[in-house]
Amino acid sequence: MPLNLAARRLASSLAGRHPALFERLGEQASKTFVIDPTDLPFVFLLEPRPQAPRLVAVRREAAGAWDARVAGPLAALIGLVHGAYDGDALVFSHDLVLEGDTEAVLALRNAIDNEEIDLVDEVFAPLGPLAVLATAPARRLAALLGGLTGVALTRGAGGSLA
Amino acid sequence: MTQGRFGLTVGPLLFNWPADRFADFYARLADEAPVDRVVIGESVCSKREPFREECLGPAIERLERAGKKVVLASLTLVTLERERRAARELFAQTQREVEIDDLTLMNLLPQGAPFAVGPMINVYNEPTLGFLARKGASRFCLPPELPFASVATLARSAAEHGVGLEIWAYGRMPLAISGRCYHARVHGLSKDSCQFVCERDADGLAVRTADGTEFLAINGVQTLSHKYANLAGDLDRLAGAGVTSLRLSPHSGDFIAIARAFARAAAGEIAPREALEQVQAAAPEAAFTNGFLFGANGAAPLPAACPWQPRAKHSRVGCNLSRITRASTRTRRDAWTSNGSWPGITHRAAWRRRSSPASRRRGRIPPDSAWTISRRWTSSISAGVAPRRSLRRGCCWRRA
Amino acid sequence: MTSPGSLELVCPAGTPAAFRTAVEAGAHAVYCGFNDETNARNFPGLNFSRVEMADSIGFAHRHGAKVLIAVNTFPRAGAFELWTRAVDDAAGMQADAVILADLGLLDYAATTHPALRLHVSVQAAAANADAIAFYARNFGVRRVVLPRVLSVQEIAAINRDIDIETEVFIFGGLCVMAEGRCSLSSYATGKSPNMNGACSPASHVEYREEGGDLVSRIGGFAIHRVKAGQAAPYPTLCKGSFEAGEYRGHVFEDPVSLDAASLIPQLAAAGVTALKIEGRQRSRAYTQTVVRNFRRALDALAAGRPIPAGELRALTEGQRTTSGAYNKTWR
Repeated sequence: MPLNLAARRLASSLAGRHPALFERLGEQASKTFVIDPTDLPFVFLLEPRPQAPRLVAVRREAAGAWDARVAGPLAALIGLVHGAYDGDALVFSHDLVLEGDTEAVLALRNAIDNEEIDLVDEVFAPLGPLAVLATAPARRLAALLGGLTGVALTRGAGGSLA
Repeated sequence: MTQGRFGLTVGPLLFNWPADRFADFYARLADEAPVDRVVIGESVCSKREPFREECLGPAIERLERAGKKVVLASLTLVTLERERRAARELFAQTQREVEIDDLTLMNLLPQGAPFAVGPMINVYNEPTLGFLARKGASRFCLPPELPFASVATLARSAAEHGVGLEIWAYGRMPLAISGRCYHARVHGLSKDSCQFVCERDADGLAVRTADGTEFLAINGVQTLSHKYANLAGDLDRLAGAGVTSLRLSPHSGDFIAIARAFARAAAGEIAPREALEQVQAAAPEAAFTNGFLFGANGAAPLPAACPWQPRAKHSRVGCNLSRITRASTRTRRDAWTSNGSWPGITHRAAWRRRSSPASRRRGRIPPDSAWTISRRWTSSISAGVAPRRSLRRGCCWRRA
Repeated sequence: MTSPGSLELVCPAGTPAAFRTAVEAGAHAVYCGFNDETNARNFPGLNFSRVEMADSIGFAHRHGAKVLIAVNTFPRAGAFELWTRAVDDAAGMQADAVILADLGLLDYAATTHPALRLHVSVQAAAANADAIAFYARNFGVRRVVLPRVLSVQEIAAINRDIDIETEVFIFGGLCVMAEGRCSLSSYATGKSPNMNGACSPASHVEYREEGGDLVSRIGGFAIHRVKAGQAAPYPTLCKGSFEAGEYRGHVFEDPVSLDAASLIPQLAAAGVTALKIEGRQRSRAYTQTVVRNFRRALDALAAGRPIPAGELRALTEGQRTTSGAYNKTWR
């Protein structure tokens, strides 16, 4: 599905553009994470191996074995990646639920927070110079969706938690 | 009066005992306990001091008459003006050594005055030990949380500086000190009008987790471990490492018997196993640990000294939780490294599985203690299910 | 950067991104640590490599902010060099100060780097004028971070008695024990704040559904049990729900965090030099919101305007706050 194409692109873009993310993860990079957007019918399996990171969307019941699970509304998860929301605050307010290996989740959260990732940029980065052609419409769409749903779909969209 | 390989020190009484109990304790200590040094005075809460004033002098006098060296304790956390004044007054007398437990006192120390460093001073490494030794420290009682490797390194350093090295060998261990009084808090009082409710708990007030596991003990502004340190079974390695003195921290019950057991073990008159059994017999309710030094954490149960091992003939001597936990801790390290987070529960569950009604019928365990054990099960069960892996490993009493 | 009489805002950074965020949000100074056990926030995925630290110091200095490097655990016996290297590197990178707690390390830094500005870490729990004078006299320290056990009146009294600067915590996680003198974590998990820089370490945390409840444990000890769907705070040992005698609940402290924003004028009057925000382990979203709010408050104070109401509630643990020991009734 196109979602998996985007997920694959995101994974390879992270490996190429954000090597520090994997350094920060250290030994936690060998873990398997389930990122579970509770308002969607599928989950993401993340294996952040430095050489061959893998991110795939699977049906919730087909997730298989994992070390750590982070579950919450898509808006919260994306806002977390974009640095718009504070992970601890989301956990305190129960918008975000952690399960399994807490240390791995914290390492992942800290590593991602440092990378100042913009998901739209990352997905289109593999297109190289052509990325600009795709990025601008995607960003407009993201901004539009963000406005409708409250989801921080690009980094510029969020910023305030309180 | 050094007991063979070690000097024995009795630390300051941490709890708020009434005056008569305080006086009796130190009178017996003076007359009957085979110890060399006694650190005496209030180290936890300055509000208790006025009640002690009357009996402190006679206690010191009696201890000295009995040939004990008396060292004056000081407060662990000094914040108030009157506490600073009291600290200054400790140094106004010059005939007795002061044990400092807060660096505040380093600023008040008269030039050249000898002093001892207590367990609440953060001495974690050789340069810190060296710094304080150069300032005149004659002896160090190390923080209870140090692992054995650190103790051994610091003992070498202490020997180089010609100072004594003591470790916390018996009693609940101080884990934290606060500006807030927890005894007052759990009784719905404020610290300033605390009504001295800490007096009600001679060994601290037990703190249990929501599922009934014994965890900590509160003592006014101080937080202690639930488990008692007990290094009576470890004296050979401690002597080998160069530790020169053992600290016994006062508790209710037969403390003289505890001191005697340690004295015999220190002199090499009894074997480690026997020492542990004598200490357990003198404090039947206490759960023991040597975890900070030798285990995966400070609450780890004593390993190896299993009363059900073939050579043990003393299985009638008590059979409380600490023995049970001890019985099954041969596999403790494996269990922890494999799952990382189940101290205190893994081995209990493992034990539960082994102590089937059938094994009880075979008479392995005295019937009276079987009741104690089954009562304990309830808390093990509510404490959660142990990971499978550790259940599969054997525990040593099965081999008995 | 701060004019005389005004308060310095000292802000946390656990990552280079959070560091830049703090500086851009108005931090006068940022404190941070190397990614090893030399600092008291040695958490997974957090802190600075040597290269990141050097880059970040350059960034701060270009923006007129100071950098304070925390080397504030107690060096392990037999491994002192790991800590002296951290101090040496901080000095070599032109850090504006190092924040230290250990006597041996303070002695080393004072002797080896006489020009390096030394701050006494909160981990040293120097809670009165005599303790502070001891550090000043022996090591020439210039500032002390006060432990969170003091009332505003006590802080004022301390400042009257000493001639070095004081820094106090204003917002964030609340330590209810005297800092640097707590072994609860190593008792339960074997990891120590003093030795490993880890308080209630995540490696020993476990959340588990049990009979419709969510139970969080640390080192196997149950710390919280909440109905599914309720807020489940991180299982910090001293903020757990326990039983003691007849009492059921938070024996030591509720899962609250410190917010002393309303006390800023009193703290300024008490002679405090710097206000510290806790939270090196928090995200840059937290850093940005908190730093911006407090900078606004300090600017208002300096201009004689009323301090604007905070918008920080959602960032606090359990969403409840306390002014802690600053109010005497807390005890």
